[in-house]
Amino acid sequence: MSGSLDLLQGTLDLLVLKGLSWGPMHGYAVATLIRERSGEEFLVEEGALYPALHRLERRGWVESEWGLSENNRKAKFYRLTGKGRSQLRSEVSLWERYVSAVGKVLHPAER
Amino acid sequence: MGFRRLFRLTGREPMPTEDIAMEFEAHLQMKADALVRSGFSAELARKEAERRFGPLERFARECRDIDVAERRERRRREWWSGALRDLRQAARALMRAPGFTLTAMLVLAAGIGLNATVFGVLRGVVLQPLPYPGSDRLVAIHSSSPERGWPIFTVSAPDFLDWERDARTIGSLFAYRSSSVAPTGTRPASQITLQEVSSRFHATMGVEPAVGRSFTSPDFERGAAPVTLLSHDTWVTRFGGDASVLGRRWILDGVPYEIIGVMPRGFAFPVSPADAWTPFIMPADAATQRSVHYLTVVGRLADGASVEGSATEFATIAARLAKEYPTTNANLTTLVRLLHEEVVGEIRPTVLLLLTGTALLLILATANVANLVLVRSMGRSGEAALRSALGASRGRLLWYGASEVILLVILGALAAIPVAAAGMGLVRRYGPNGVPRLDQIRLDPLSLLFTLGVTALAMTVVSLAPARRAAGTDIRSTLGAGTRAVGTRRGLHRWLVAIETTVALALLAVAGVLVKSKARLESVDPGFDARSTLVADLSLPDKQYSTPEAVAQFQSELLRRLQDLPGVEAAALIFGLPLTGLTFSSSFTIDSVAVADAVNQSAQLRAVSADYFAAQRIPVLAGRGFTKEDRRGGRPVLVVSAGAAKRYWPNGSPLGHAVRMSARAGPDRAAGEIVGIVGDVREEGLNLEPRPIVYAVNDQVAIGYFTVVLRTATPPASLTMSLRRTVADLDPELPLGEVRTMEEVVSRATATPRFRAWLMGFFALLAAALAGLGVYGVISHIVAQRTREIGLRRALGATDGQVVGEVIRSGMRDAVIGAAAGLILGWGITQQLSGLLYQVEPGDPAVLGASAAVFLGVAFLACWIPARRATLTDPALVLRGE
Repeated sequence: MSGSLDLLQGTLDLLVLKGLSWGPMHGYAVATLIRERSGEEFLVEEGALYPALHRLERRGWVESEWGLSENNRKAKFYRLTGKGRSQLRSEVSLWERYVSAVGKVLHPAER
Repeated sequence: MGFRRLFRLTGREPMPTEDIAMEFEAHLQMKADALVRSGFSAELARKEAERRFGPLERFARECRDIDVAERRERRRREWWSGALRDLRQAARALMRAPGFTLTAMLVLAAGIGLNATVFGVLRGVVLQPLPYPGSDRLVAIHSSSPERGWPIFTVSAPDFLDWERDARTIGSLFAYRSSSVAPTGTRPASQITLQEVSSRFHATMGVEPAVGRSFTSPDFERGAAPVTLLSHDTWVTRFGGDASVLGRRWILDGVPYEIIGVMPRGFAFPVSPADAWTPFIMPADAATQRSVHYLTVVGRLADGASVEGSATEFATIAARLAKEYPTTNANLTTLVRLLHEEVVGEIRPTVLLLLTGTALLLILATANVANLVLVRSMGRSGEAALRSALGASRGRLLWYGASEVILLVILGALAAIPVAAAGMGLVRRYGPNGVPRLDQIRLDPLSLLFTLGVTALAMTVVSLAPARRAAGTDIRSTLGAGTRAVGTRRGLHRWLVAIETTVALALLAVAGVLVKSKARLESVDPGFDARSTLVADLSLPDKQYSTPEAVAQFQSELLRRLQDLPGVEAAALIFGLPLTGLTFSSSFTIDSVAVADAVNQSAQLRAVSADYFAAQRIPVLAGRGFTKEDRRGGRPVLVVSAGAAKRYWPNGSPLGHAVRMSARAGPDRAAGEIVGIVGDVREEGLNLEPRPIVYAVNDQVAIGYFTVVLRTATPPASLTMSLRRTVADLDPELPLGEVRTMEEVVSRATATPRFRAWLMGFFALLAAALAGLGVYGVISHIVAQRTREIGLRRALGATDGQVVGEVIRSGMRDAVIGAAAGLILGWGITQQLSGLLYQVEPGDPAVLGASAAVFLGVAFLACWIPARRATLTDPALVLRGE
């Protein structure tokens, strides 16, 4: 996987929130989702997802509950809270401003 | 949610580590399953899953740290919301029992408020430093002659000059004297206090004028043009705070003073406030006037010098002066003490006494409220046990038990604020005259906070008892027993009865001693009859009344007119009215024999008009009083007091002897033949033995400062207006001092002892009432607890008398123990008061006995009422009940 991207600081939280916005899922599903949707671009250890999930839970953006996975394994499911949903919205808009600002600097001709 | 939390409280929540391990394991298995599906062998799939997962231990640690922090936060939140819920519940419980709440709140408010008031007085009056730079280095220096019974008196000019020259322990000192003068041209005529200060005034006090210039050495030279510095108050009230007053002339008693400046706001001598200052210019003959004492001296300690060191040095100087000038300075020593001590020394014991009183009251208030809370908490042990069974932590149970107390203390403190503010207002208004800085006391938050802290501490300690009970309750026994067999906590109750009795009795004893002392003081015969007498001060300015003839002429005309007023029985004058603090002592010679010891052979000099003895009803014991024929130019005559006659003519009669006072009193020296002896007068203070007095005829010595004394047939105050009019008719420029009755003069002289006795009496009654209620509450509760037992015993044949007797015996046993302790405590406190008492021994047995009898009577009643009530219930009903 040479040429993969390192995740920018804080970006993982954004991706996790986004992933959970599709519905409740366990950690493995979130990891799979991010990997597939990013075109396998990110170089990220799957375990790193868990501190992020626990951190988001502590802040009250997600909540967790034990349940059964699709092939009947016991797994912890995470769900976005109302607070988490509005946090996601503001982080997305922040991210877009960031990208657009960086873009304006890198491609001045496009204006 | 409620159930989940309830169970979580007991600590059965899974450890975060297990949780995380399970979660990670699930991930690895799902990953491995996926890898197997994509062609990995089972064994390799697990390895690959672990590789892709990354450092498992590190992630687990991170997750655990986050979870542990989260759990801690959540617990704290839950504790606080639970605590708040307990407080809300306590508030609702208090609101459901408004009688209990209001009583407890008022009792606490009284206790806290009174303490805050007295603590505020202590801070403002006693503890506060004097408002001068480096005020802790300022000392007052007095002449003193304890042998003659004059511990403190004023200083002669030559002595002061010698001190100024010789003292090394004092860096700088100055002398001052005050006089009343009248600003010319103001209507109605008024008086101000002018203070003459010697040259090191500014240097010693360390205070310069806020506006204008200080006094400089040319101002102090003989013949210099008179200048004055105004006090800030004078500047504002008389000159409208106008800066252009500088350089203006202000005519005082006919003398024009140039205003050179204004002293800073708030500057005044603490002992004797002044309206203006002027340089003290030594009279030409000052150096020879060693027997004339009239200066007050203030000094600033030299660097490195102490008050004690300075006192030693002044003792040495006094001894040297005594050797050099034996006639005037024999037996004369010096008293050096901190100026702060001078200001607060006299009032400190009174304030500390009051503080003791309020502290004891606070103990009572706390004990009473604690008892009420305790009784309430007993009815609820079941609830505490239930909570304990449901897993509430010990801390939470303690909090639950204390939450009512906390609310009560807060409510009590809030209600105490107006109590303390009102108390301060009352003290400012009705406090005794002459207490320095009393007008400046304010309700400061620190005093309130201090008292609140003490109360909260006391309440916490006391409320811990019921709270700990609740926390330590044995669940099964309590829940199973209903409300019957709940432990009675008799020990604590007995302590409360004993403590309340102790405190109340001690306060009663202290108040009793003070009240008895006050009664003794007020029944003292002062030597004159204060009833139906009106007095007012007059001061004739030297400028207009420059000759003795002019003074004498004014005085006789004034007396003639006053005598003619309807309602006046006798009109008289005196220089040196009793109980006004004026002392004018002088040594004297008898039959021109030189005095061996000027301090020892001296008397108070008073100048009176012919009818003075009649007006004050002072009896003439031998010879005659003064008559209208004893006038200027006639044969000079004197009258002595009985005490003077006994002291200086122990074996014979003073009548016919010639006496010459050495002091210069007014323009003429008082001298003459003794023609009569009159009764002694307590003119220094009702509690002080009469001093020897020599009376001269005012017409013959012509002193321009005197007091008018009118004995009236009608109520004295009704003559105030005619007195004022008569003086104004004679000289409209002349300010008449405050017109008051002689009874007011006497009453002011006893104001502080009366204030003490009233306040402590009030505290003691409050204490007796609180303690009586407290004992009543305790005994009622004990009786209520024993209703079944009592009912059983009555059913088995016990008589009402036996039941009542037994209840009273058990209550009174504790009260008697408390009373014994209270007598000891009261005895100990009164021992500290000997300086405040008059003709009463500190541990006066009659007072102690009466206090014990009174309070034990109250306690008896407090036991008897509930005991009696117990006998009124039908035993059958009680036994069937429950």
